[in-house]
Amino acid sequence: MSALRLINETSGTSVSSISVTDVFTSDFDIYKIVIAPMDINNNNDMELRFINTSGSVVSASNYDNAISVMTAYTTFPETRQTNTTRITGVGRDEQQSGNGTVMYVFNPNSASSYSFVIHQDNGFVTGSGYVGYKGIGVLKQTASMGGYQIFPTTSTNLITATTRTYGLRVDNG
Amino acid sequence: MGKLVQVDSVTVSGTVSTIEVGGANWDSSFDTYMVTVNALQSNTDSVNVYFRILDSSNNPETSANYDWARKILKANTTFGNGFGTNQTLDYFVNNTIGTGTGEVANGILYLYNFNNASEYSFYTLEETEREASAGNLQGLMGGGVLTLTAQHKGVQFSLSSGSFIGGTVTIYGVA
Repeated sequence: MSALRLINETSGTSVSSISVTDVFTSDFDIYKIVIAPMDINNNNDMELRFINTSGSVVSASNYDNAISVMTAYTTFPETRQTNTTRITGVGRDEQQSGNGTVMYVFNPNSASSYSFVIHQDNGFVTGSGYVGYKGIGVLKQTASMGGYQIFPTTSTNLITATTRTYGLRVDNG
Repeated sequence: MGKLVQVDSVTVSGTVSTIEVGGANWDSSFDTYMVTVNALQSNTDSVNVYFRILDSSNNPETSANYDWARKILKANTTFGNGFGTNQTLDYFVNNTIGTGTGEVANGILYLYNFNNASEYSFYTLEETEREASAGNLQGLMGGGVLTLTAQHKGVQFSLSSGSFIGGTVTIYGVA
């Protein structure tokens, strides 16, 4: 059996957000999240917030994040934010759908640790070309998270996506 | 999606000066390995985390044969570039970890060619940490190579001073 264990698969079609709850548990410390395919009905980034174990979306200004943006058509811009309400750029969709995200989440279920994220994703900017994101993020709360929500930057946009959540099993002999 | 087979795992118990995975437990049946690093924590403030590769005798390779390059991501200020040639080690974090809340290091490495004694041993690195004292979110995206044509059997993490008091490092074979 693979140490990579599929925990959950959730899809949404033309929805304002997709919430995945009750996936982060004490069974795993590190999670892999794959979002693919992914489509936003207008040009937009995908954002992420954690959902605590009570089922509430955490929207406090406790997130820091940074993204190295790699484009095929210009110099590489940087994106960075501190004390914001979300982790930005965990997906990008402009002209072409079907692009994807691979993300790792560290210790989300621990009530004594912050929740860290590493992500890679890509998209295609209308009129320009390929863009790739390599990013990091953290939720600066020592609280137990049970899941996450993904949503487009612009709240009036709609997403169609499938997100799969895996746990990375560790067996200590 | 590839199958992951656990080769070795170490969870820090008490205080230890180094963390090594692979070594005597190395399984040479894979071309690619994935290393997960979860919440490395130090008992000393403002210390760097060093990364080295284990040789075929399970000792850390300390010769000046590490080349590496990475983008340094920072949530609070302009990004940087990190690079080096003919180094005796690599750095797993950009700045330092500390003893404040959340000042730990997490990351994912992929190891390539470790069992091929006629090729260099390569690795890619994705890492994030909150730096000591200031608590700023930082991270590394890049990779490196040990420019030795020899078999290698794992990786070692150590600190510039002090000891690890927390963290889990696991190595998987990618089947």
